[in-house]
Amino acid sequence: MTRAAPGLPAIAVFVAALLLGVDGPGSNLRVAAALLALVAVLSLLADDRPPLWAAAGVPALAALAAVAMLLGPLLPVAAEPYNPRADAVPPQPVRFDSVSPLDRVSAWLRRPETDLFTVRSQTPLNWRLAVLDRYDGVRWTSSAKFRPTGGRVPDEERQGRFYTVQQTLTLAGLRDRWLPAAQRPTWVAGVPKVAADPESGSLVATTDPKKGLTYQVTSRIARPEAADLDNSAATADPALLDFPEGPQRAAFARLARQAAGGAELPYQRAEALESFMRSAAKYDITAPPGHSLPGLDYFLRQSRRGTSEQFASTYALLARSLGLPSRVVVGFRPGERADGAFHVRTGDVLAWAEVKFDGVGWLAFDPTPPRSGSQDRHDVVSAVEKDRQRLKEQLGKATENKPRPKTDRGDGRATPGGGPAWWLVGVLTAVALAVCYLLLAAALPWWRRRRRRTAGDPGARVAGAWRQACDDLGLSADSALTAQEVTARGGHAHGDGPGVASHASGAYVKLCAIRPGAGRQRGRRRGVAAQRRRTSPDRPAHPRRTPVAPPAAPAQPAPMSDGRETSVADGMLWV
Amino acid sequence: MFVYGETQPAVAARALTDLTNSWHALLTTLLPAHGEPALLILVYTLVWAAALIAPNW
Repeated sequence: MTRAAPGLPAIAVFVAALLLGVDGPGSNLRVAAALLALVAVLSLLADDRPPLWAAAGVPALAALAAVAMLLGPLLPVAAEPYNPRADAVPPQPVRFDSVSPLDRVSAWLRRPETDLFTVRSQTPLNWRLAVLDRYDGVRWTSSAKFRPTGGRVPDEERQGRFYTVQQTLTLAGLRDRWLPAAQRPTWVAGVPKVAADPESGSLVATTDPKKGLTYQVTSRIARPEAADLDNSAATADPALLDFPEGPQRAAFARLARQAAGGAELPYQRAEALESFMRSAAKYDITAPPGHSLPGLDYFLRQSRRGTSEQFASTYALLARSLGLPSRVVVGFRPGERADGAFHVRTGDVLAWAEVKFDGVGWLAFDPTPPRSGSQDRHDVVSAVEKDRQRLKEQLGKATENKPRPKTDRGDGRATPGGGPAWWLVGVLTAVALAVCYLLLAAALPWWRRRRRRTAGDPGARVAGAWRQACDDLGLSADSALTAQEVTARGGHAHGDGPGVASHASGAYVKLCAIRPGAGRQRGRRRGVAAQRRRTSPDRPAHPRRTPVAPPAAPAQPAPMSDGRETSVADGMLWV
Repeated sequence: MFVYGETQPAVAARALTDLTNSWHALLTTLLPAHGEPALLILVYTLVWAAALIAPNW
């Protein structure tokens, strides 16, 4: 046996922990490699082995561990490691929501003085009870998948700025499986058996809570800045945009578009909708309860009286009509502050709506108008509500200063990618191509002329001059013309007269001109000068029988670029 | 007894049932801490050091 034997139980525990932590954050590869390498080092140590054995083995093992660490992430199994939790079916929660908390809002409001619970917290907040994210046209229900928790409430999706609030809640008259807590809980302690929905963070007791139950909750409160919402689109989740079929659908969509007005950002549309709802109807606790689609249609267009049950339900549906993923939340206002705690009564019950934004998460909107009369004189404004005011001012300043063409095609959904529209790209491309064509058409003759003038070979330069002269006369298609033919056709095309021959010969001479400084080509200059004299405009132009004096240089035919030969001999130019 | 809060004989049978179901509860319960094997480094290092200084078996 080696010294590694005592380490084997630790290895087994470590492997078990690895399996249980597969869905955790980060990578354990380095830790695993280090620990296994250390055990391997132990296996090298034995009293009867020479020291050289360990001296050679330790570097070898270190190298092996390094290679394993580098190659580990490349293995196919590393892409999707085995997660034993995926095969374990969680226990089905006992049905406890036969009566939706939203259905009890009206009943609670009619008996507003019953003490429900007490909260000790440094910050006044709305205490969330239940999250309802599915609507079937009759009821709002929850799609939560509750899992027993040892205290932690996963919150991986949370992004952006937030602050933490500790709360200690003591239940009094609230006999409900739903446990109140500020949005959004990340830790709960003190409840014997509690389950949490990782998606929404809702908390429920798996057994009926006893009166006087005290538990602690740690919550993260979102505190978005204007910059976060400036670039945030509404998260497109089909389940959270579902609107039941019915005649009310088109009416709600039309009304929602009117309410949103010219708001551009998704957050501003949600705010505009909130303002619309607050002014569209009156708060009345005697209004008939219910939140079926026909009932909400009647509330919105006829009675215009309701409780937060109707306001929040209607707001969530209008938001969905605008493409804003929304849900209804039932909870309580902060309550009355006394003795260092917030005392929450049945009259504090409130339903509000939440809208989900990319990179920010769920944000609360309260479409219910303020209560009037003496009931609200003790109301404490939620800290979230104060944050909303600050945010509104920030966004107002930001939108005054710059236009935002980012969103909109009328349904509230952001343009994917945020880039320019395809038709704009097409038009710009066509314009760019046209400009390139014009530039090329303007530059090509100049470039061709320059290439013909600066050709290194004198023969090529002479041939180039002839071609240029033909081009200038519009005879570029006929490259095998004699001088007489060029003069005849040029005269026919441009009118007979001395100008044609003069133009042809002038262009030819100009293009044949030798660059200054080429002393060894003096003879050529003389030939050119003689030619210039002969083709001077003051000389009568007539079909020349006398061949043009050739440039002095090439006695041998020079190859042309297209393979033909140019010969300058006996005063005649043959192309 | 401290866990179940009662001392009836039925508690023993209940404890046995819970023990056999513990693997399932472990896999379906949201653990108090994230599953980070790095938390075992200290314990593991102590075991390793003890093995290092222990005599050969």
